[in-house]
Amino acid sequence: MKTQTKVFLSILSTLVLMLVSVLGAFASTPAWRAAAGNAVLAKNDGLPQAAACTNMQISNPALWFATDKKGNVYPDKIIKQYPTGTSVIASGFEYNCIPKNTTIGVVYYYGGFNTEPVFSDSKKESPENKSGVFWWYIGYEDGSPLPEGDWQVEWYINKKLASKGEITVGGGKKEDIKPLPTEEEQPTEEATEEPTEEKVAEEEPSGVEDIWDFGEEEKQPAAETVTVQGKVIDGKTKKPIAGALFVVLNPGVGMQEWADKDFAEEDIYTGAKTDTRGQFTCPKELERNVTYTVAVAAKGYQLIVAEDFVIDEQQEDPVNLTIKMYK
Amino acid sequence: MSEQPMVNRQRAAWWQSAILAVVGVLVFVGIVIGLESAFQPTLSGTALLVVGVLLALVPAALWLIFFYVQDRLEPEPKKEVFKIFLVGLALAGAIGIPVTDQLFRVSDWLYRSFGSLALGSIFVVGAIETFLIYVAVRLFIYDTDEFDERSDGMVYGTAAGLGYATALNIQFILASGGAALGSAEVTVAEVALAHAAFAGVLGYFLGRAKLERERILWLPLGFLLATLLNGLFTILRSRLETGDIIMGSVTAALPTVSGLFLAGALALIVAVVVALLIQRDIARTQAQGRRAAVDAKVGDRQSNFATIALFVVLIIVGIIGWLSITGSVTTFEVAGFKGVYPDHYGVATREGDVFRVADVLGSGAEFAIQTIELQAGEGTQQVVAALAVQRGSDFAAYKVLESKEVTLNGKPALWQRFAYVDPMTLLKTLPRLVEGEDYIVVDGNRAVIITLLTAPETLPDVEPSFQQFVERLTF
Repeated sequence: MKTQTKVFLSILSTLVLMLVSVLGAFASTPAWRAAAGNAVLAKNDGLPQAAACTNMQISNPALWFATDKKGNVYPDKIIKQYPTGTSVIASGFEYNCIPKNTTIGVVYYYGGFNTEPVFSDSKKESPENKSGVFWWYIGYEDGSPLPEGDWQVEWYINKKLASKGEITVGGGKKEDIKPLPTEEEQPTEEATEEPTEEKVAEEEPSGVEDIWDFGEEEKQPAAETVTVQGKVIDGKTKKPIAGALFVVLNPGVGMQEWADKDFAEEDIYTGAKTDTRGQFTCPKELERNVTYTVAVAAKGYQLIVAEDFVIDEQQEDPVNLTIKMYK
Repeated sequence: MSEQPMVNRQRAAWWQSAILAVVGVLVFVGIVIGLESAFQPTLSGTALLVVGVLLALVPAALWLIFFYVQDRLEPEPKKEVFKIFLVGLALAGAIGIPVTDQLFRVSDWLYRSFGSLALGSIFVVGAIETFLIYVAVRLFIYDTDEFDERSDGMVYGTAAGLGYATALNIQFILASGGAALGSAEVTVAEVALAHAAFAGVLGYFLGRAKLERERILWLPLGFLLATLLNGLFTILRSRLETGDIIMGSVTAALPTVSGLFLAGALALIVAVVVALLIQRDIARTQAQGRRAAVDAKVGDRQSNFATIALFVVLIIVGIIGWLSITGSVTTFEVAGFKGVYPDHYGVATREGDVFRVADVLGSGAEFAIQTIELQAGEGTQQVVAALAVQRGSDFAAYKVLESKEVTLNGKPALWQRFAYVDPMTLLKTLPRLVEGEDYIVVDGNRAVIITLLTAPETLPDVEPSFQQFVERLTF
């Protein structure tokens, strides 16, 4: 390999590492889907406008926007709570303009600012002389509901904390939670009546399934799903087995059927790999009283297949499993 | 007729002693488990390893002493018995364990299916272990004057088998970093008793081959029986100990002992049956007026060659099966890409991939094909940079560990090895270290990136499969 290439790679790696470390454990995981977006506001009197942008100002506290399962964000619908079953949340802020060389960083927390970040990322944003709204939505890759509780966000502009906010996910259904009226929908604007739920639905893009319309999911409360976690150990030595795979197949898919389909990933409902302590947590919750096929595999150990894995009402949430494997 | 009471006494003594020895080993294991749970010793590091290794020797020693005591008519020199024990141990450590673990990598594929379990247990592990025990006795004691009784075959065979078992047990203790002593002792005793049984069967056939004029196929028959017993024991034990998924956290539980009881029963049965056979042989010889001990040079060369030939046949079958299990591939053709991937991998193509397969129930390794459109003047360096930015953003501590220019199927390519930390966000598990390799090939106005992702400890295992995946890929 050429020296120039090595130097280039070294510098590039160093820069990436510096950026990652300075922004503070900014790292996402394949379990997340997330994306940034922005929109120019049609009218915004809240923040000063700049002809040539040099000083970026953003709203603080951070805003939270209505979302749908597909990751569509409705920046005109600012909310104060997400309903039970929400799978995508989006925080953002209003800005006056975006100067050159602006990097926007976001850090999401679950359970408090003093906890480990659950998601973080950064993005270099193109210069913009108009005011607008910037957001960054997050949700699980598999579209499963986010844990209920308080979520926090921090916004960094060029590595400096510029805005933060908090919101609650859960504790109510769509009837209880309505988007706040935006400026366009204030009585002083063209809309003269309070926005109703029906109006909100009308304004949303057609064909989009959003969190305000749960359909069938509303009939299945979140309590019907449980987190599955556990520990995989050697049945004889009792020592934890690292790197063991815990795989749950989609309901109705049996082991033989899965093997016949060449162990296709599309048949996997959820799965996890044990850490060095033999522990695992499934990223997606399992439904109670649904029969799953579960397979546990580890190098050098016999495969465990349970075709009738059911979690009934008597099992607490989360369900803790102890899995004993043998050579 | 005057010899009959002595034979009966000896037969009774074998019964009692064999039961006593098995019970002794079981009681010893029970004592270790009891002491561990009562005192919960906080041994760690070297102390734990030393105690573990010492405890690994006890069941073998108990069983060996039992057999040695039985050879009371003309006791074998302790030095010779211990020598064969050490030879068995050395052959296992120097040849047996490296060949089964490193060359055949049995643990990678043994439990993939019942067929692979049967093939690996009998034709690979069983054949190799039995052959090395055979070699220990045949080359180091069989042709000497010390081997002059039928029961000597059993004594020396058992010594070699227990030596082999001790090597396995020491490896087990070292590999598990000094496992919980009580639980470990169950495995140690099981391995010792089981190998004593296999080797005892082989020893009986060796004893008769040496001291009676048997047919050429007598010794190969004994070899085959011992090999089958070895393999069948593994299969049967795996049917007894199949693994459990238990709802709830199990903090304290007795170790699983079904395998130990199976091994104990097997050892007991083999010891008693072989002892009875030996007594019967002696009685028959005496009834026919022949001497029990005959010329020490009777053991014939042809029978030895036949045994070696049988081993070669068994191991060839094992190799063919092994290659068939580990080398079988599935072909694919996606978006102009044609190639093969290991049979036990599953398709796991995701958004942004051209194609991806994953060893879902094995190493967890993933092979992926992705493409990136290139602008005019862009080359592999731009792809490297793009990958660094993407992975640096998505994961923690991404770094390229090694990089070089290579040729892939006649095309210039850039190869790089990298690692990053997957933080496993929101999951109650430790962050995961991921290691991988990229082959980056510029193909017209696009770059083709062929990537391997796996855990660092499994990288050496999956690299050969990935190489095959890369080399047989055409586009």
